[in-house]
Amino acid sequence: MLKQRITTALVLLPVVILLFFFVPLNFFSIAIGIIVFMVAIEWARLTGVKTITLTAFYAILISGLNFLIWQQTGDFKFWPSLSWPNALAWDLPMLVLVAGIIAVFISIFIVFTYSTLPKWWANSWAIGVLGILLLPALFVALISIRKTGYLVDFHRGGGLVLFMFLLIWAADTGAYFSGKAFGKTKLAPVVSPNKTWEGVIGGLLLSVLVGWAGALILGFEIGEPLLYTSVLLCLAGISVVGDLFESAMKRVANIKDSGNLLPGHGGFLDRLDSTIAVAPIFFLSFTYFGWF
Amino acid sequence: MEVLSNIFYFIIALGILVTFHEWGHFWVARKLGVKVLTFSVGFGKSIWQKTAKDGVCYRIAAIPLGGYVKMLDEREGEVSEKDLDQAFNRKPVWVRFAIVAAGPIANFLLAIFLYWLVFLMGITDRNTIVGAIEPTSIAGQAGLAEKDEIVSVDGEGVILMQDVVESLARRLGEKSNLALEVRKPGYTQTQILKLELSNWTVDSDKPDILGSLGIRHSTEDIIIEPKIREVTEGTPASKSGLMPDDLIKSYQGTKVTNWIDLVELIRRDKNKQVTIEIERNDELKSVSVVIGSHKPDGEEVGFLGVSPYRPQIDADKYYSTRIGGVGESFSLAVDKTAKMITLSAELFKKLLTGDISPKSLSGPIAIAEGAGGTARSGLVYFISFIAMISVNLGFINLLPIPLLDGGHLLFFSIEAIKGKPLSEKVQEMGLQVGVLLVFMMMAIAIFNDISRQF
Repeated sequence: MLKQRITTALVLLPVVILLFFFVPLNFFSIAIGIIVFMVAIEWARLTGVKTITLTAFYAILISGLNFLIWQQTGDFKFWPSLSWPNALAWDLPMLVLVAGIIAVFISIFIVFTYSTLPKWWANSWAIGVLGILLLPALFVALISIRKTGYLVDFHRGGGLVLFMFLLIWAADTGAYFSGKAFGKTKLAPVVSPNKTWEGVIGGLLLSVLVGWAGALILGFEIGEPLLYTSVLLCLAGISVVGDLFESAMKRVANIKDSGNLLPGHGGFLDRLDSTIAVAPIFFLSFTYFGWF
Repeated sequence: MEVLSNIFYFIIALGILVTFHEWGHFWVARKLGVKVLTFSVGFGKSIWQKTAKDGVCYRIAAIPLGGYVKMLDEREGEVSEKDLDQAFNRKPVWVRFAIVAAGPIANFLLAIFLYWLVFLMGITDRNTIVGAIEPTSIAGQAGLAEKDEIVSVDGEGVILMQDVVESLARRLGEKSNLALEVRKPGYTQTQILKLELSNWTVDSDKPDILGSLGIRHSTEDIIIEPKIREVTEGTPASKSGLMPDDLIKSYQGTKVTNWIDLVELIRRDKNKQVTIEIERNDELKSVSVVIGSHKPDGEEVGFLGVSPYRPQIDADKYYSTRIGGVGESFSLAVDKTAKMITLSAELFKKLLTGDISPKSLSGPIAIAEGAGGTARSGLVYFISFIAMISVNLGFINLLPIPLLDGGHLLFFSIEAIKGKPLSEKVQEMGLQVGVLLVFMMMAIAIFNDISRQF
């Protein structure tokens, strides 16, 4: 299993580096559009949809929305709005981002209150609607991060996207290590029996560490270290919740991996569950505080 | 087409290296009584496979970027009672150590064999006689001048210019003085020049070790007469009426005597209208032409569409051949392999200490380009290249990073000292860290590779 996982990752590595750093913004956006399409297919399956027609309908609906956002606003370079972060203007991409963030908060609320109620999770309509808010926001957020400083330093946005993935990865890996070493208190015994509070704390710590290392390497201008650290902690926390949310859906839908497109890694949704929750907040908070 | 040929030679080179590496594990494992289940070149889906009489499944798989030998092991699957004594994990630590170490060692042995071939076949390359040296360059300040022959670098004898490059590579990122032994023209005895390296910088994007010191080979001074041999159809040159045997006298009023200078001027003037003065049948003529543009190596430059006569040169003046007898070549090959191993180690150490930039790391794309480039130059260069990569592969695999052979060796060594194996937990954590380290190295290397393309 591990061998297969590493093999897949090694083969994908050049593709990911090329995609993040070297292709023009339009290509990047198309690729993200395709990936979000895949994620939408897997999301539809998790809501309990069994037929191919409905699955395809859902994925096409979401991709249609993404396409519409693009058509309505034109140039990716001005996402989410021309005036951001100097002033808030309700351009379509900005609207989608904020809607996505609201959906993230609703999801957090659901995880904390309903996580033990399988009945709730079987409510495919609610989860389907959440997806319609969350997935376009993922699309907009990833492109908005990539386009940062696009005309000044072509590689920079790619570094920022990678940085976000490293933050999430750190929360995950830190949790794995400290959970193994000190794990005792179960975090969510029903949804994800392997997760412990000790693990979460380890994840938060490693994430903060990676966040500061990244700030040094990428040269963020950080005026208030305390604020920056708090945002990092929040993002790591949200990342854990995003993971839990998908675990809960999978448990109810009785699926182990959400797909098998990436041998050893499950599907795209398995790799991007935390990203869906983190990306919009990551982008808006980092730009709002002027750290990019 | 060049990309395809690069990929082709890359797969050939990698196939040879991986097969030998895995064969090392395979051979020693069987000698020491471990049952081998699969010997695979490449991974992923199987293209061809056959279970031989010896019970081993030999296979070739679709992704030619590696391979593996799968041995009987209780940690990876059920092992029947009667086979237990043939399981890898039941063997004493020295046996496991030997099996794992055999892979990198096989790569070093392959390198010795290939270098031996190279020396037997003889390698012809530019000799060590330098061309005109810029007096303000590092080499020029040390007193290196035109027609000097470099005899040794830091006490190591050199015969070909590539030996000089190799010896200099060892000093990358260092600041102390370099001793260059040279023979001035007309003298028999040699003298030692001290090159100051305190201000030495090498551009990590396009490393040119000789150029950065100001050392030029005499071939770079060969003057090519600016006389047209061929005009390519459909290019700006053919449209302007330029013809074979036209001698170009001046370009935009600048006198031209060397083809190389002319190329430089044309490259700068893409899409510009220019006037070229030529001599045709002893008559001077002016030709007006709009320079075109093309992208030979990614960068858009001006282009005319003419090629010159090859200058008649005396090859003996510029090239040397190094060739040896059977015994002599073998000891040279051992020596060369040992040198390449220490060179790898030194460069890696400097990478860690920050003396050389991580930008100088190269990955698979650079290797593919190297493979294609050397293969097109000739068999002996290709073999020499495979030998070098073989040493590199062996060396990298010996690094004490879990996931690589060296990581296993590290664990086995600790086991030998402690008397019992490390706990599963620690091994697993080590593996995670190893995966991260390997991925970081790969990511940087691939990033650099792609960056160099633009």
